[in-house]
Amino acid sequence: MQATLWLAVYLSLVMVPLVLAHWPPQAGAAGFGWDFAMALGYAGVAMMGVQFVLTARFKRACAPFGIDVIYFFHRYLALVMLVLIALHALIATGLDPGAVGLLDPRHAVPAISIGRLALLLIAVLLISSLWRKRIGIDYDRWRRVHAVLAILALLLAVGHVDMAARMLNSPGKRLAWTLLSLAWLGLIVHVRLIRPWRLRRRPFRVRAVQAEYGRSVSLQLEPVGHAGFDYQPGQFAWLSVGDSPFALREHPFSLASSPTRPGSITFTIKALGDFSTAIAGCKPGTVAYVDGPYGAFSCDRYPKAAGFVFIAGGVGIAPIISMLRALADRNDSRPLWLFYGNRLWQHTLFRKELQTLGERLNLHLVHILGEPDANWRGERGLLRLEILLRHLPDQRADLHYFFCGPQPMIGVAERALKALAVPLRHMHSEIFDLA
Amino acid sequence: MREQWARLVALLTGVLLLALAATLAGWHNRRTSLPAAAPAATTDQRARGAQVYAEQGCARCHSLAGAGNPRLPLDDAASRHDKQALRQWIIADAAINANLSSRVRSAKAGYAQIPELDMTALIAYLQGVREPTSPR
Repeated sequence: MQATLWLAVYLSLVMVPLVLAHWPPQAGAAGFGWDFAMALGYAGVAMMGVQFVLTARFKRACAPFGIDVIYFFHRYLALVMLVLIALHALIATGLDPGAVGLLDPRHAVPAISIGRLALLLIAVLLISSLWRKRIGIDYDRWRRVHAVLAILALLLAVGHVDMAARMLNSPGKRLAWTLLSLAWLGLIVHVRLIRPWRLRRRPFRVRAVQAEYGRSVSLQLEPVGHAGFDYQPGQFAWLSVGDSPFALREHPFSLASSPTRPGSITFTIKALGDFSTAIAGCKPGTVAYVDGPYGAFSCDRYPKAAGFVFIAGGVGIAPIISMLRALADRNDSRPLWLFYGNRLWQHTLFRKELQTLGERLNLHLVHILGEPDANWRGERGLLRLEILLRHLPDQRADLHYFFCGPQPMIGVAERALKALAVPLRHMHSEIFDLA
Repeated sequence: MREQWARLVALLTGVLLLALAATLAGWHNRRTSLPAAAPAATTDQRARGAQVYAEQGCARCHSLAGAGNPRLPLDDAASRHDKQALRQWIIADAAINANLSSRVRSAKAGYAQIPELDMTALIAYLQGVREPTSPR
């Protein structure tokens, strides 16, 4: 229900500017092709505005979907947006090369050159995001460049519409369009200035940094001068350590701690990149900022579930240990399964605590090792259908399934459970790699 | 699974916007094919001129009676120019070079190819719409 409402809001945000530019339908059409191209232009700018809404982390709007998938959506939508805007430019150029003018900005109308520059920036944004790792752009630098380029592209596009658009020839439309542009700019101010300013007023402090198995650390933070925040086990937050919240050096991590133990929060982080490696070296007392909680990956959203099956790979255990800790503290007696894949036993995070939790909970713990020792008697290789079949009960349709780990593992788990006739709405995954 | 949903919704958004843009463009053009049906008094030639005006997409840069691009109204063009001058302006003839930017000249270059009958009709049409009530 909530999801439908927010989808409707999203659709109207995307469509209203397009309709607005054409309402009331005025005389003076310039041919179907030309008007179609112009309409695509308006659609493109509306989508640009929506892209800012999508990444503004509105908690209530993101909650029904999980913000991780919203970021994924942002990425796909950018691709669609680029196609529409490129079509807009291509059709207009094809129909009337004279009116569009030359590529050389010295010989073209400024309005058109500005539009072209916006299109170029969008292409650069997309390429630098989709292939960030392949090109080798560091995450923090990418985020900063991304924010600046995106704002610039939106400003140029709005300017292009303002200067070139003949459909905005009535004062009412011009006013509406200006208000819409101002709303988008307001959103940028909210995300880049107001939110960091609010975060700054609610700082955290590193209480402890504890080394874990598998090149991971647990970072325990305590709120300073405030009560922290409420969260559901399994949710995540954007974390920045040692930097101002204005610096845009924040990264999303799962909360491994449980809300049943208030007073501090803990992130368990694997040293995968520069930021996570630096965290391992940070000292107690360091100031940190936490923007959260986000995400829909929580057993608390399904209080009526008959039981839970958790499937984790490597550090993907972090949100799941949070749920297990919460369930244990609440003396939950429902049946639980944990399929936990790791390459080596030595790298298996929380292996001792999982043993202890297993004694407190009705937990069937299944470790799966990719490269086990010769005397390993548990499951081996990668997660697959037979392993699930061997351990899951026949009555498995009432259970809820949570997966967190590498993308291929999630894919295998989803296909296997589909084959076992588990309904889709009982499968919940966390998309790991937001960047 | 959820990524696939995200991909699908993004794709559907694109399709929806394409359809909406096409609908609006189509509707827009149907509504405004009416001015092409010139007043009852017009001769066949003027009616043909209106067609040429629409076919060539003159409304992209020009307006008549407030219809089209309001930046360059043509309502009083015929009172300022005679037939010969109108023709020169339509095709961006070298004689009026100094009045037009190179961009406009290149935009108009193609109009020299308009067949003579159509050109005469277009000029007759422009002369026929003299002194309308302009909203601007």
